[in-house]
Amino acid sequence: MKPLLVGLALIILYSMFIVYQQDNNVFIRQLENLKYVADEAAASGALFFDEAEYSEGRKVYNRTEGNKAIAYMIKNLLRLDNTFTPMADSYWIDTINYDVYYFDDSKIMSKYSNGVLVQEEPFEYGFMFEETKANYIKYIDSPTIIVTINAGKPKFRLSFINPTDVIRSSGYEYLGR
Amino acid sequence: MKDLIVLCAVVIILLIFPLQYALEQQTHYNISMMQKYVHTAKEQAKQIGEFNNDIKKELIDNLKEQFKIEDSEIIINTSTTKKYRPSYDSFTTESIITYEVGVPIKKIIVANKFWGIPDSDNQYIYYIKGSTTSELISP
Repeated sequence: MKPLLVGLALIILYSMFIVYQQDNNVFIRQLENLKYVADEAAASGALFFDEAEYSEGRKVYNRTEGNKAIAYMIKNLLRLDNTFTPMADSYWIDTINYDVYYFDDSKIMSKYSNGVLVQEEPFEYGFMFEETKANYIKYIDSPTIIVTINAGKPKFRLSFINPTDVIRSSGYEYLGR
Repeated sequence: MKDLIVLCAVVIILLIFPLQYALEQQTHYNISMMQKYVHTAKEQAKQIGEFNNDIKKELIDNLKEQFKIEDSEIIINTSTTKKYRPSYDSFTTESIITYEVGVPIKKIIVANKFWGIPDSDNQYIYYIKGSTTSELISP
């Protein structure tokens, strides 16, 4: 009887371990994917800038079009609907929130949260920017777009695991100045 | 004697778990590498506006070697026309390159026959789907 009980206990323990292993592996891959999404969103947003300013040697991002491109890429790549709620085929469960920071030759830093302007303030190149949500630090010395995505909690099937929100940041820097 | 028989049965079942662990890690590693290969191919396609044959061939070669599969088993669907960078002042989805890459994962559970699961039910196709904005300047 004792080997049976010990065996059953071990089977339950191993099963939980395998479930955790699978969930964690998927999570690691989705975390990497989230980084790629932030990269892609920042790169897409950086394609839009003011041509008149550019002809005078200044790089000033077109925030309106940049925001459209960033929102489109995040929605498309994370499989979200128009309210940024994950669709059935998305890995994520919670509504996605994202912040975008524009630093450019207008010397005005603009911060958008979910596409809405929430902060504008002057800045000078040559400072260390810190995105506190993602612990992302970047030296701002040229026009840069930083995208931070908060994807909410990852999926773990074991109920006693209580993960925190998954947040990734990426910056796209224009080095042509 | 009874205890010995029970112990043997339990040990046989318990042996499957380390094997499943190893298989899961192998599959995870392969898929992670696939993720990197697809990402690299996407970055290349972004520069030239499409997944051309060279990019696809390199991707297939990498996946073939990683997963030990044949060319014909790899699924690659991409947008069929060359895409160009959007104008500086207007975002349009016409500049979006789409892609879908699939590879067969041929073993989900180890010792599947021990559990009565046929090989045909013990596999699936893993897809990576995505899109990117072309950076190719319009001629």
